[in-house]
Amino acid sequence: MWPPESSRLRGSAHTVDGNCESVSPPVHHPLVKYPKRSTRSSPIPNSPSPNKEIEIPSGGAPALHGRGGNLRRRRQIWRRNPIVEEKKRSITVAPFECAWDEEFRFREAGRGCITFEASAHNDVTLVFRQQPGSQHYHYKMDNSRHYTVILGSHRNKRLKIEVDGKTVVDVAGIGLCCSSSFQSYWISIYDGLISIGQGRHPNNNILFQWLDPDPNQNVQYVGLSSWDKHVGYRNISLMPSAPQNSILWSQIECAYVERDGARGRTRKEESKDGSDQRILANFLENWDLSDAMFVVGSEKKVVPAHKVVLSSCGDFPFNLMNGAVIELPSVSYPVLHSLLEFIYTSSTQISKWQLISLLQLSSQFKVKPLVMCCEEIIGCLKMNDTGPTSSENLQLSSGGSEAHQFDYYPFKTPLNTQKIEQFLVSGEHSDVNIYVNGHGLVAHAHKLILSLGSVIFDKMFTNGMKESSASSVFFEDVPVEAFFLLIQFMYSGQLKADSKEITPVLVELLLLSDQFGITVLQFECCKRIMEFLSEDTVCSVLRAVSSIPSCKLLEEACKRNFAEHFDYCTTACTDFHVDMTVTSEEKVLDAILTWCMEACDCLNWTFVHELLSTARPEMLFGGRLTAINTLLPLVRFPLMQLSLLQLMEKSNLAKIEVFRQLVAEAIEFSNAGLCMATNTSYKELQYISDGDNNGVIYHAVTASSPNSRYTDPKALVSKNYQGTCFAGPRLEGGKMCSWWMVDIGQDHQLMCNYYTLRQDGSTTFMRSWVLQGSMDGRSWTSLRVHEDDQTICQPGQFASWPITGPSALLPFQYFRVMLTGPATGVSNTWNLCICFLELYGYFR
Amino acid sequence: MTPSRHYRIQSYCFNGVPMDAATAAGNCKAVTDAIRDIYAQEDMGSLVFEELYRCAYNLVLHGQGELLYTEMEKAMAAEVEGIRGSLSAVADDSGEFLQELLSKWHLHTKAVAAIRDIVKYMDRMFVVANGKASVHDLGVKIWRDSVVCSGDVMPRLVEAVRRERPAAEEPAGDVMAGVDKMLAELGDEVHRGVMDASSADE
Repeated sequence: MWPPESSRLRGSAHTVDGNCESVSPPVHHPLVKYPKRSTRSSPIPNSPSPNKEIEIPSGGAPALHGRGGNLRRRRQIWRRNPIVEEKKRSITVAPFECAWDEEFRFREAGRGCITFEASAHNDVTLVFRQQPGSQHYHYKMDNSRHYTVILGSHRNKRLKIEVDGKTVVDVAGIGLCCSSSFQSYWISIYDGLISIGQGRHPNNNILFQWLDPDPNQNVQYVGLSSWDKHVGYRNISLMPSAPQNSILWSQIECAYVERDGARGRTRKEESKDGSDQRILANFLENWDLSDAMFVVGSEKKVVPAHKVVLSSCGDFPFNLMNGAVIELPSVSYPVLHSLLEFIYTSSTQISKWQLISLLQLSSQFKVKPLVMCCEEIIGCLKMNDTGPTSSENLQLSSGGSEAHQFDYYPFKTPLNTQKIEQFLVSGEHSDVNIYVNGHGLVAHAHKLILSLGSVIFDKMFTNGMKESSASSVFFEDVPVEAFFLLIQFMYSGQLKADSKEITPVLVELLLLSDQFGITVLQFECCKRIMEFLSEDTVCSVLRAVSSIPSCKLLEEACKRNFAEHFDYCTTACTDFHVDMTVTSEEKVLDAILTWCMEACDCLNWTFVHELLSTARPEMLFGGRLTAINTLLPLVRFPLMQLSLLQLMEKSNLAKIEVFRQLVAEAIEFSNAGLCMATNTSYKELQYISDGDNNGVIYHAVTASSPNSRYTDPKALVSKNYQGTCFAGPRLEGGKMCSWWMVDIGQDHQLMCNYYTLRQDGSTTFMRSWVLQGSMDGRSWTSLRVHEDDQTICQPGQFASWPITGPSALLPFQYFRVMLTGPATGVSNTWNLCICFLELYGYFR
Repeated sequence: MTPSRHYRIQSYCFNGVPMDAATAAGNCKAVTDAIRDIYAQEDMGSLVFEELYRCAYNLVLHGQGELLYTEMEKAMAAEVEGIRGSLSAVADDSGEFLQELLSKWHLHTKAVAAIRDIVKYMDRMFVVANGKASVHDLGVKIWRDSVVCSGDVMPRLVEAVRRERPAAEEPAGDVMAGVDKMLAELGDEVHRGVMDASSADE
């Protein structure tokens, strides 16, 4: 694929053709802030840069990150908190290290889901434990309880899950890593059910699922770790977990039954704290919200119950009898308790000698699943008569046979879900009327069902305020249609809106589910919205969700979409959609102008042009005049069509100094005749660590060139360490200079956004140099200028720098590192002593 | 990209539209008034949960979580301060004092639970995101700092516990058990402090 002939690499000492009095580099934005390492960002004095003519705006506009060369960098502009988001954006974990963060934390201990993208050769390792660890944490040395999930273990051959250091799962060939690009994964943990999948959407594309027989309920922090290689992580999001795989439902239920005792206790403690959502079992023989009662036995014990629950699984004679009292003088309390327990928790225990009474009672009320259960056990007992003594307890359970039921849905067998849904329609046994102000009655509902669906409703109906005793509840400021869907969801466990696009109702429902704390519904809405997210709808959704802290994932997805809509089209598909490219950049400009004028509707720049014919910029923009100086450089004018640029040049907008400069610069660039990327097939090569295998040179370039004693171009790209490897100085146009150049081949271009150098064995450290790119090998554009950069201070040291700003968007064929000032040391200070060079970015 | 698909969700365009100060103050006042009523106890039935929850929800949603939190804290502290004042009026008879303290503590915990229900959205979102003390913890903290550990209650409490203790050696009386529980909830330090101090001089 890559004929070596097409790729050349030359040390300057051996070339005589380099003409460095070059044509001016096309673009160089003055407002580019470099990361800390570089000491200054002003153009170097000797550099043949056109920036001499361009003054940095005197307004002292704060420096911003330039609109960077890749999607992620650009997205920062739209973020409110770049520091936090930065962490989220991309993390590289060195070998045997581990990254922890408060952000990487499940909201609920033992339950949560992490989605991320990773790029590695092997061993993408995630550790789940109660407390965060240190940077040098390693799961092999952890004594406390934890889960470890390793993707691409055994040299990227196997998937492994370890529990407290013991391997419990080890399967070949699934969930492997990829070192050439980022792969999306998700891992969900839910009470010991560990699910691993691929893609951005949890519960889709499940690779593997495993249920811990002894679930670790405490895991909360997620550590991102590695083995012997660097692992790159990015786009990390945490969200609540909601297991939906129906096949595993029965298994989960078994697990619940096994540790019922312990669980019951923790439940109680939690609800004392008031933060917990109650489940149906909590209402067993509970006076809260009860609307029926049994009077049982000769002692006339009173047992509370709920009509809506009883009626959904049997035929209790509430309608025939007066009131809601059922008297059962001949039934003993333990039998009734068993019946109720079976109904509320779907399993119960009973002494053998009371089994017949239970059968009779359940037949009386037509609780069919229990009748069947009893009959089955009686049949079994008859078969082997030598069975247990009469005092022994028998276990009755409705079993998890109905596979369609999900964990979050509060009603399980023996309750009949269709009946429960029917109660909403008919209003039978309803104990509360729901009104929405301005609309009227919405539903005849049941306090118990609403309470099981939302902890807010639970509090509303039980904490002693007005609603607790009222039979009508009025809601204000809620959209009716969405509110009804919300109520419907609580009855059916399903979102009954089957639109194939994002409708306003769906967004409203998302907000409502957040307001009333119905996480499952919120999750469901998020999923649907993400599925149908398009550039048409993204703005509306983003505006709605950005105020909700719990919708981070969706917000992230929206921003990604938003950025892609502008960015990807403009960088990677220039020729593909010429018109669209122009429109997009123009739109960015329009958006900036609109914002700066604090206008309500989106303005076109031509409109502003007309306004400016009579008004001065200060009048138009007022307090945001300085902001415009900051924002305008973010518009990538060079990507606009020349005709448009020329129009702009003549427009009144040119009264704004920054605008005039930028447009002039862009026109100059356009006239220089450099062609932009001509095709769409850019490949992303992302920097992970010094000396990794992700760069262009490793990917594509093979060197061939005549050798000499110390200057071996092949060595520079060979990745092998070379003790002595330098490019000697020469005079070019009366100035000393020395450089290394890489030609990535005639048919190839790179939008470079990161590069790595390695010092050779000498102590001649470069201090002032520049990385330049060129399309023709003659005219050079400075991509990154270093002045008195102290980074390199060891022989053999690696060092890497990002390239920010618009120049990271320009595709080049040639790249060179050129000394612009003497290096350290006493002699040979014009030797450029590097033995390794690597470039990253979008490669074609 | 037909215009028809560019719908707007008018009422939900929050971003960049912070709540105006008057509305925010009004909503805050509704919540703090409710806190007063909750402590007054008789009035719980007249409060409308939906309205209060909505006020608190809107405040947090519109970025006024900080305001709500501080106002709530202030209101709670003021009520608890009032309770402390009423306690100093109680006679020094140890049994009566402990009983009164305990009943006020129950009143306080009940009130905190009700407040937490109202501001649950803040508890779930703002408190978590900003690393603040949850409403429950805040209630405990206020009680500990401004009642139990205050200059005029602490000595009386220690004195009363010392006097009650020998009498309740065998089965701890209801009052002593309650006090013990309360102190345990306030944290190990306070619990041990009171117990050590009350047994030290014997």
